[in-house]
Amino acid sequence: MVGNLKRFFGKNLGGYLIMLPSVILFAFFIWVPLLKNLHLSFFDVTNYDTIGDFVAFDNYKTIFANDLFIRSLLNTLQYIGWSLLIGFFVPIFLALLVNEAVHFKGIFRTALNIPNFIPGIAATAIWVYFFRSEQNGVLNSILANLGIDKVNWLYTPNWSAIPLIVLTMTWKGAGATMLIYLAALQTIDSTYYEAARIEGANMWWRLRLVTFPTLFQNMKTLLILQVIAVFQVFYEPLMLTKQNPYSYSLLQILYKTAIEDMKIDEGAAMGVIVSLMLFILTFVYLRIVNRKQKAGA
Amino acid sequence: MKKMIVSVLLLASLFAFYACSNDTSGSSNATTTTGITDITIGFWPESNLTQDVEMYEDWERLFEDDYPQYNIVGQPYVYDTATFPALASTGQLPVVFETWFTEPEKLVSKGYVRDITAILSELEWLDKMDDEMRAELTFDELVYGIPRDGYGLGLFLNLEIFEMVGLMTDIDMDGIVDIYDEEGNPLYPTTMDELYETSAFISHEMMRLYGEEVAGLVLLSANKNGGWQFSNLVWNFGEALQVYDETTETWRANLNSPAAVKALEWIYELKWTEEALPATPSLTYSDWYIYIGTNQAAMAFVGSDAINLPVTNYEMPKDYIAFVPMPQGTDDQMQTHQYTLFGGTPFMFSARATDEQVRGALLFMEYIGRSPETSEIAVQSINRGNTVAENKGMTIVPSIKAWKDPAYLMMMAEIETRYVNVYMPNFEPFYDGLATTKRPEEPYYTQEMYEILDGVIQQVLTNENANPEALLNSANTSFETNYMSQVND
Amino acid sequence: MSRLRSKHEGVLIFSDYKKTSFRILYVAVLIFLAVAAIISIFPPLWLFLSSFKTPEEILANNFVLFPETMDFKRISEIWQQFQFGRFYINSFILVAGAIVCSITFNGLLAYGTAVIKPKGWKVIDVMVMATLLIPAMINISPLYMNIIGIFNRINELFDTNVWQIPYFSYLPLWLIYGANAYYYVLFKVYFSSLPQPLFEAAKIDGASQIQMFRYILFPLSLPIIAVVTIFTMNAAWSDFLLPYLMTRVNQSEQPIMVKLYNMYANQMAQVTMQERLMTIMFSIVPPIILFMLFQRQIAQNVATTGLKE
Repeated sequence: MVGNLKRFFGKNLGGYLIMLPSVILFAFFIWVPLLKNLHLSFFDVTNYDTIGDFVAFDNYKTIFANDLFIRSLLNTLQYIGWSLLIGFFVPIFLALLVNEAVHFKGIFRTALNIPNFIPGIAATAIWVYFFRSEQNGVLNSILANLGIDKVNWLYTPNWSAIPLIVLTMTWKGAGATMLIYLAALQTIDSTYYEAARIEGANMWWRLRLVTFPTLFQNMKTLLILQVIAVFQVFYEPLMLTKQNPYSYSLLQILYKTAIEDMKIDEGAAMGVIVSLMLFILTFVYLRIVNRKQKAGA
Repeated sequence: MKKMIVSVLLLASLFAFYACSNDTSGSSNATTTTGITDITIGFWPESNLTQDVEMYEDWERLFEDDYPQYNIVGQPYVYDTATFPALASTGQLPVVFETWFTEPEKLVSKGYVRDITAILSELEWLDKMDDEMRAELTFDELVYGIPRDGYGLGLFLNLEIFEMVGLMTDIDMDGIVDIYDEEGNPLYPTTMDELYETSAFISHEMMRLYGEEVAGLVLLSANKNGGWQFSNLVWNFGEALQVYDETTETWRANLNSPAAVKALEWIYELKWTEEALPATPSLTYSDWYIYIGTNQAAMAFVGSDAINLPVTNYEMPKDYIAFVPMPQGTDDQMQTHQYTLFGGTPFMFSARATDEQVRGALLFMEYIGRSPETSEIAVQSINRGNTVAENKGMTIVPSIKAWKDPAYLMMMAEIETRYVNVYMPNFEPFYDGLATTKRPEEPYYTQEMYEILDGVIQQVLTNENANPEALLNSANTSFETNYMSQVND
Repeated sequence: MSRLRSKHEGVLIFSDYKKTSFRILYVAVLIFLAVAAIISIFPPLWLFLSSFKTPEEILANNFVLFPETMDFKRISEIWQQFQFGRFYINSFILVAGAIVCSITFNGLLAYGTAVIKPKGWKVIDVMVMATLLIPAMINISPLYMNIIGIFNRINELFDTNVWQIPYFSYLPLWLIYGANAYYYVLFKVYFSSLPQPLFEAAKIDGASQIQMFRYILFPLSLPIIAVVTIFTMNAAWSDFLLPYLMTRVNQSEQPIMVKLYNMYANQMAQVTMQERLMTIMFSIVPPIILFMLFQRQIAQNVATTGLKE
């Protein structure tokens, strides 16, 4: 047994030592706070110094009785839907076009990528001026120059602000995502297109037979990354629509509950629920994607 | 097996880590070995406000000369809900900080602030405090702070717009638009019906005459400000939002009274029939002065302590400001009602502050002119504060006094006659009516109630098909079951 | 259009462009891309020009892109009044430390799981990857409590006050970039793609694991290090919630994004619209310059790593 242990550490000790500092950092910055959250979510917490009785699932019951929490859960579904509809395809489309361009290619690539380097809260602060519903909002004043009536943008009756919020997120992120697809497109050997062309495939068939299969691997990864990201939308609705119930997001209510209202226990429970949903979602998604892959192979 | 060992080791070390990283009590090294007590002051001005910083540093010097046992440490802290709990739980709060009028109930119930009753009575300040403001800071008969000053909700008028649409002119030719006609009758709206008419008229006229989109009235609807303003409207239509039922001896929610429905319908009509409200339906307290200061709105419901904001941030000429009472409403029995929502901006004290620190902080208040004391020091500091405000081009209006001590009131009246730099006839309606109309906020779960009302107002402002009565009915049910029912336990 | 004649790559090549319909399509593509490019750069451009405008110009009913006057003196006035120079220096210090931590710790961890692979590496790998799914905000309060707990302990142990040590409070702000699953993945994917026999050979020659990291892995890893550097720079520059908490005691150590956040958090702030816009502008200029300088590397490196920020 001792000999075994010795051999075990002899072979692995160096590796452990190299990984140890990073593991400590992960523990300190992420795992331990997460455990603490899980712990608090089952207790009655006044403040961090005064942790009261064990209340089992009472905090969870409370948050699911909260209309706004349910509302923000449903809104999140809308966010995901719109981001798949808008955010997912725009970068693919842009990558295809940029890849075909032989003029100004560098300029297009640079320009499309600039928004990604603007800090999120600064970018949203700019959009606040653009989307003002008043006549003097930037977009409305441009419409006025074109002789078009003003639009309510974020507050069109019977229409939530979510698509526009997703649009600003796409504006910021699409350029960077495009680069990934562009990189994939550049790995395609032109002989494949050549072969397709010789077989008489027109533009659409070339796209279908050669281009999309190459992008598919990236699309799979980026799809789930995008869903995870949009699950965590926060500053955009916070700054653009404030507490408007029609676009209230999950992290907004988490922030409001745990931090603004100082209901630490309920906030912790929300944090656990959000994490749990993301875990399940990712797990199921990876299961489906991998099974398909196996079936396809 | 080995995977197991690794997992177990890892988990064990995680828990060990967790267990030992839980101590945040720290040592409050407030008093050093030399016997000098550090007092961190959170309402210290930010470094870019150089004149104010200089003034505070002078005050600090004077104070430390007189009380060498204290060391004042300026630590600008703008109260902010995002960071407050973290700071409070870790002992990082300043000894004394300024907060919003919305916060005391929450801070006390969470145990983040301490009561200062004993020290206040020792200084003989307790009985000098304004009664309503004291009630707002009192929980279970303990007092948790002192008011910086008071505010009353009123109607802010942008006279430039009133002049542009021809509702008011400079009658006495002194260069300032007058809010009365030749006979001295008010030209500003004094009833809710008049406010409605005036708002609509201004919006329509500004569009017709100048092609400008101007809101008659700015009405807030987010960050709890919507519910805050709405409760004043409901009072003026004749009902409270929380009522004590004599027969059952219980408190109950009253968010869907006929008066509340009337108030919400009033908002609905102003928005959808007259289009006299801002196009954006989600506005907070940082929005109203953009509209007013840039001539995009004619009127707003504003606290009297915030009149300055369009002047300092948007260079609005102060002669174009008038401040009048919340308009009178009428109930179903044709009775009229008029109230002014009234409260104070509090200074509160960290739960971890020692008695000695609180005493020092309170004594320092005299040196910055925020105490009921009437000493030479107090007079000088108030003068200095006014001079700096004057230099910065701010409006100086009479404050709503935090202290009711006659000697203090006399001193303040004397000082204010020298420094007030607005055209008082345009502010007098508000101040004259204050004493008889002032009314404190509703007593229970006030912030939660405001938040629920915010949601209702936003829906009315966003959705033209909204049904005010139905919205208030469901808001009332939700507030009653989630909050008010707990009051009677 | 001569370049079209020599186009051999992509879905459409020179032979397709002999047809007029495809030439029209190509022009349409260019126009579309031009519009997309304008949409991308318009908001920051608007911000830059509008920070010279008066509130009346900004809130005009008809759109005018350029301000009536471009008073560059105003920039330097506001710069000095708000002491932006100091906030810039703080931001740079924050970013520099974050880069060092981000490369060292995530790199070492990935070296462990991708190359050395000691027993049990998979457990760590899964636990690290799972953190990709955790919104950082969930953790912020408990994390801050832990940091202060440790600071207090150090104070007691060494009988000192760490808050008085310049930039001591930046330690957690730097180190948190050493625990980033995203950068870890980038390193891991890259290391896995390196030829393994290289390491075997070095091992046979008796190189220690640290030596292998220093002399073999590091020189080979410059492209991925460049990517992580750029991503970390961008992220550390934009971060504000934890920096806000950590710099509250020594406000002269605040980075610029904290200043911007402060302006929006304070309802009663005495800030003019122009000062607001200028602050936003100052906060976005360095990252954009950075991007302009490194854009070629960014584009290339995305190609090698296949992932983005």
